[in-house]
Amino acid sequence: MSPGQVVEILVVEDNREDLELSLRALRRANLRNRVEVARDGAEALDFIFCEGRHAGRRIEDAPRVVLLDLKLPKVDGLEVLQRIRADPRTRTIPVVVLTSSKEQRDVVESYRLGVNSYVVKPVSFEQFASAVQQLGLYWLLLNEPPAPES
Amino acid sequence: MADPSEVLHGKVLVVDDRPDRLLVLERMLLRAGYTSVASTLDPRKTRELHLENRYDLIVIDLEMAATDGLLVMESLKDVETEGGLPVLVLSSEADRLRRALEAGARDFLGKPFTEVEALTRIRNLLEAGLLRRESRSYGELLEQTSVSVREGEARLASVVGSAMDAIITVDAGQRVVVFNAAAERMFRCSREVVMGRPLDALIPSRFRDGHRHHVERFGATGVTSRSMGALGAISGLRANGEEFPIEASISQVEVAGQTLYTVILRDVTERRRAEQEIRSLNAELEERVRLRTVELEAANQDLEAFTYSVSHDLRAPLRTVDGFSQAVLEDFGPQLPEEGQRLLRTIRAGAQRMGGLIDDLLAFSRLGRQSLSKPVVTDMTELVRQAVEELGPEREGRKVDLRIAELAPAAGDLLLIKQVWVNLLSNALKYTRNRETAIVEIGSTVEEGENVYFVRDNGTGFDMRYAKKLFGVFQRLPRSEDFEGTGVGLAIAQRIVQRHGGRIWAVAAVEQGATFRFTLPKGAGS
Repeated sequence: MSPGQVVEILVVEDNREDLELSLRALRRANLRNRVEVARDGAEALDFIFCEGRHAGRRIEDAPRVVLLDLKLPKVDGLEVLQRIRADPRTRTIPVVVLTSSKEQRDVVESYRLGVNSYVVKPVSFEQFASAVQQLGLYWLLLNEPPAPES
Repeated sequence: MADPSEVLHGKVLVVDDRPDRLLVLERMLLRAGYTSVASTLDPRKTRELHLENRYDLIVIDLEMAATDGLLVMESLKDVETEGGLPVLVLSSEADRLRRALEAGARDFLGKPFTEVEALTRIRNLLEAGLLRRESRSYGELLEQTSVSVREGEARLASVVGSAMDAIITVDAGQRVVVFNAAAERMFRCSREVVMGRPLDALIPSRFRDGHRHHVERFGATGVTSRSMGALGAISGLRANGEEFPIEASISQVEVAGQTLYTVILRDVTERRRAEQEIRSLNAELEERVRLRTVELEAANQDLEAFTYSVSHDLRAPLRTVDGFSQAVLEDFGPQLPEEGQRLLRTIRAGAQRMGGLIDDLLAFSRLGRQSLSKPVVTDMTELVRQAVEELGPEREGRKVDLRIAELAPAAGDLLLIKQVWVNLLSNALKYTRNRETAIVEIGSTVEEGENVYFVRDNGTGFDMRYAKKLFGVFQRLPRSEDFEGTGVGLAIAQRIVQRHGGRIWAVAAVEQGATFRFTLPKGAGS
């Protein structure tokens, strides 16, 4: 990613293999260039709220979509989601939970916290790749985000 | 005093062989108001007439020509056995009168007599006769009464004596007047020892005053009976010093101006012990239930954690296996020999299959944990149509003859019961795949208290030896290697049916089709 370029997709994923498959799928859809990766919940929050390593970033340059895994080290996915929704500056960032969990309590809790979409990662790579690509394309190309508040 | 009108109804016979004298007496009596006056001129008929009419008074003139009045009296003796004859004799001779009295005449009238004299004598005699009869019937009544009193007493004594409960009666001074056999057994104390004495020996010392006051207070209430147990635990004291719990009721009755208190006691040692035992068993049971609940909750939590972990962690490596195999095929496909590509495809198929197994397992486990929704009466025919609709893809390109009969409605969780139909129909479609025309029949029968539904196919069937394995999780019959699926569908169907209180089973023969049946509670109105 070249400096100054606006990040369009934040992928929050701790599983190395899943991450690689996700990036592979995005690359095949020609969406790889504007992707930022966070390997745990704390990194994701640093990026979104422009703290730590990302202190130089502007919070207004919000990603077009966050692909969020739920089971994450340090700060888990549901808490990341909650923090994004609690802050007026980040409240409108689209967040898609992309997880292995089909557990009803995760689905219910995610929607309660205001997730935009909940997608279960399929075991089959084709389906997985297709899901990731469709998500990227939808949120980047079709979805109309609100105008930044100022 | 006898009733005057009753006296006038007294039956009188006048005996005289002289018509003129007879007429005088008769007229006199009728004038005086007597209503039942008879007479005879033939003294020898007196006995016969009396036997027939039972006169209250027979007036005999002793101075008859035809016969001796004394003989007439004699003839009456075996009729009137109860001492004396209801006879008034008339005569002018004192000696005759004396003999007549000795012979049993009740009274005499010396001639000549005045009318007042005669009527007074006659009335007195009749009156005395009436009183005699009355007192005799009172006497009989008294006799009967005292017999029944004696019988009643005997019965009461036998009831009291054979009663299982101790019965103790005390007088107003609280001294024992009745102490039955059960009381003797209960207190280990013979009645001779306690009769006429205060109850103190039978009551633990700390209760004695309380008991005395209780009885006095009870006496003051005038209430006829009341339970004593209501006043809290009371105890008795056996002769051997042992205390025991009793339950008692007390009643009071006034006899000949004296109040008697009767206490009926029951030794409840055994019952108290049984109650205590029940209480401790209950407590033990509750404790066991509590422990078991804790264990079950822990087990449930374990299961939940396991399911969560399976759901999250097991699927990820499978995705890795599948995804990276695909990546190899994509990136290095051209460099790989055909066999290498085939091996990678096999790896991917295995991973995907395992993913399916995990998904089914999770679905199965969720089914055990989730609660059934409120049962609704369900149009089963409609439900089957929906299930058939869902299975559209499985019928594509095949000749399937679906024969759906009108089905009895059932009560249950709509979505889950539909799942049963989907799984059974999917099963039927799967195992008829190699038939030119698959025939699947769906029907129901209404049995006692439940409905039986069936799905019959003309598919490959199975060997009944394996019927037991049919509904086990991942239990697949040998034949099923040729057919796709994870082997969880029937297990899920079984679990749903069982959770509705029904049964599910199958009958089949190799290559002769299979019939799956399940039962559900009857829907309302069916």
